[in-house]
Amino acid sequence: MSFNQPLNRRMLLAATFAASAISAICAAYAPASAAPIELRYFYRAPWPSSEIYANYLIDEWNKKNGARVHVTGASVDGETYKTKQTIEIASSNPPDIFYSWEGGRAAEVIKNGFAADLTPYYQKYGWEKVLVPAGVSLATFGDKKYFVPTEVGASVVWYRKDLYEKLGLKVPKTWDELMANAEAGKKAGLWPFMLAHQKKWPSQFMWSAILVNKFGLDTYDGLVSNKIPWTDPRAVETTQIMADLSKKGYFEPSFNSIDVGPAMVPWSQGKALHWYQGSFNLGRFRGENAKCCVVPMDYFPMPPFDGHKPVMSVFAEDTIMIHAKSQHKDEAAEFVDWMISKQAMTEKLVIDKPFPSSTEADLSGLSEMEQRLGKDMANAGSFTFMHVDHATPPAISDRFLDAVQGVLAGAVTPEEAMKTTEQEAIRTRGKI
Amino acid sequence: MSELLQAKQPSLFEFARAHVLATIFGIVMPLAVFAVFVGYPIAYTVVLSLYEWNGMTPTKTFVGLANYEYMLQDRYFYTALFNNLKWLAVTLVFPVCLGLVIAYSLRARILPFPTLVRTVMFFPVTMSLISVGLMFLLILNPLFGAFDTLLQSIGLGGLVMEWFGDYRVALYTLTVVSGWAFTGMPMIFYFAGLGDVPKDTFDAARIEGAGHPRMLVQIALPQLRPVTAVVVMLTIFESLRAFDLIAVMTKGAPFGTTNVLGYLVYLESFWNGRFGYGAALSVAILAVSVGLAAVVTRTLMRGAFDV
Repeated sequence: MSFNQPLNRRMLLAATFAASAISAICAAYAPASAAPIELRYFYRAPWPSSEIYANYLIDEWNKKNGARVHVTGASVDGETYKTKQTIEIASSNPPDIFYSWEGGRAAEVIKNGFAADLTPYYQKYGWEKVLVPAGVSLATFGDKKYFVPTEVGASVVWYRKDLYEKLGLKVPKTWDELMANAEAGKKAGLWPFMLAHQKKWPSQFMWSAILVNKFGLDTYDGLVSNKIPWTDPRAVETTQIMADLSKKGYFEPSFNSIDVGPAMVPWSQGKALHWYQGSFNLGRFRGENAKCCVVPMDYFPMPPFDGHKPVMSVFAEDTIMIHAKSQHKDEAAEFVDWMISKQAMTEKLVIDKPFPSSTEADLSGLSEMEQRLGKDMANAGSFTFMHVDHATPPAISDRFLDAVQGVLAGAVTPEEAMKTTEQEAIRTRGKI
Repeated sequence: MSELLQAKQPSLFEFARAHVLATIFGIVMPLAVFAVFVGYPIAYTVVLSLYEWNGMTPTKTFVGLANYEYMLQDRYFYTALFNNLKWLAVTLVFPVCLGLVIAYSLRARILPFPTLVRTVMFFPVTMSLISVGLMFLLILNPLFGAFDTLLQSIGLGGLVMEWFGDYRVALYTLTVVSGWAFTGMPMIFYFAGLGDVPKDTFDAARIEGAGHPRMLVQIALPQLRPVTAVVVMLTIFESLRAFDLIAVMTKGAPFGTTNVLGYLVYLESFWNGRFGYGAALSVAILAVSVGLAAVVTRTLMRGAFDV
């Protein structure tokens, strides 16, 4: 065949066929690693530092493993996440790894078949040995584990050490002693408790802690696991105690108009004596300082009413699930294993906030107070209790939070508030 | 002229045959677009309201009118509905009336620097309501907000209150903030409308001794009826669509007293996972909108656009 021969139709077809055949053979024998496996990580970023830390996790992973398993992240801010999560995980192209909540919300996701059973991965990677026991017990539903906690938290009474010293107060061991300290603070012109209740969720921390320490953990478990109705006299009495604190002026003025972020200003100015809140606020308390905190402060658990040992709320703040429909569960589990590795968890303390869910994380960079709290949480053993909006489905918790806010504002009585909550609970889970 | 009027109007079919392109691009395509992007979602929402669906699973359970039955007993629905009506009332009184007064003052050259005033008044309309909400959260913050400080500095500290925290006040705070953002819209409509009112009528009234208030009420307002009809219609829809400010500023708090129907739809559907009930609430919003639009059409709009 001469190269000077003009191109006819038969030759063109033959050339096209030959080119196609060569391409197909090349494609078939191409190395398997040509295109990396793509994983999608959908996460909640309630704080600016959450976003930075998530990017660190993804970038570091991709640097080491990107050619084999490439991870892409997508985030939603804290409050919108709950609504976006439903759409994302129910979509035809769901994320492989996603942020979940513990408790009622997690149960809902599991019930609807979106969460993969992670029990085999717990065994494969030995997660149970490195994770805080409370986190592992929270991840267990029946005999299976469905999520991996990446941040654990505790709710405690934060107090201003300098003001305690100035007023000559001692750390209270009982509820009555706490009330006496609060009264002393009020007499000194301080706000006994900061509440910062504009977004209506903060009061549930104190509410659940009072209920647990007055009526026991079983009562609280009964309420949130649908064994005791919300109209139970113990729930009403707890709400009444909150209402009494409000009536006595133990919370800051205009507490229903103040959000947690702006409340840091009067807290830093020494206007409030106590603040019952979650440890996830340590990022705020730390401020721009390398170590916590901007002001001299410490913590103690909510004191019990009857002299028993106080029960501190220990819960999983951040939890990760692998989607049941993910085609790459093994690779996703590998990424999760990186998330709770010593390196990643130690870096979390630098970039983000305490507390890492891994007991291997190096806490030495934290302040003495934070290290102590970290140890207290790790030593708490199994999970104790989580606040209402983690423990119950959103429909019940939202109505509960509304109702308690109504009580504190003087709009409804504690009985009416708990009746409203129970009505919503009946609609969601039926009558007990 | 009378022959023209008496000429037989062609039927739709005859018109379509005579004007094929106009029929396709002027009637069929807009109708198709409307059917796909408006008609279908409405129809789907109505159908969805007859089901119970958590948005997570593909299974929807047919419940008939149960969502509507529940809605009629739901205290939160009534609170939200009445809040929408309160919102509408405040919006009709505050930004619409204020917009009219400002527009008249600008046309009558009562206010100095009319262009600047017009620009400043219209500026909030161009702002996202999310930004407006965040801005007013700071301005009305009880700890360091500028508004309370201003009131205290001019001796009106007694008026300081919990703008968002007091359940008796919070909704009105939101409506006033919304009004602040909305006033520029009726103002610009009225300003344009006043340009069409013959100057002679104002001159005649002035010679007869009428002052500005009388000229505004008795000369301008009657002649601005078509503008008022449009503004009222817009205000109704704006009020029923209220969502952004609530989502940013109060999230329905305190005690659910700032919930409006739009926010309740969001809460029930996306927060509580009750898409069927959320759809039923959406149908209620549609019914209220249609009802109010019908009232405006039969009253304010009747004859307003006759030449």
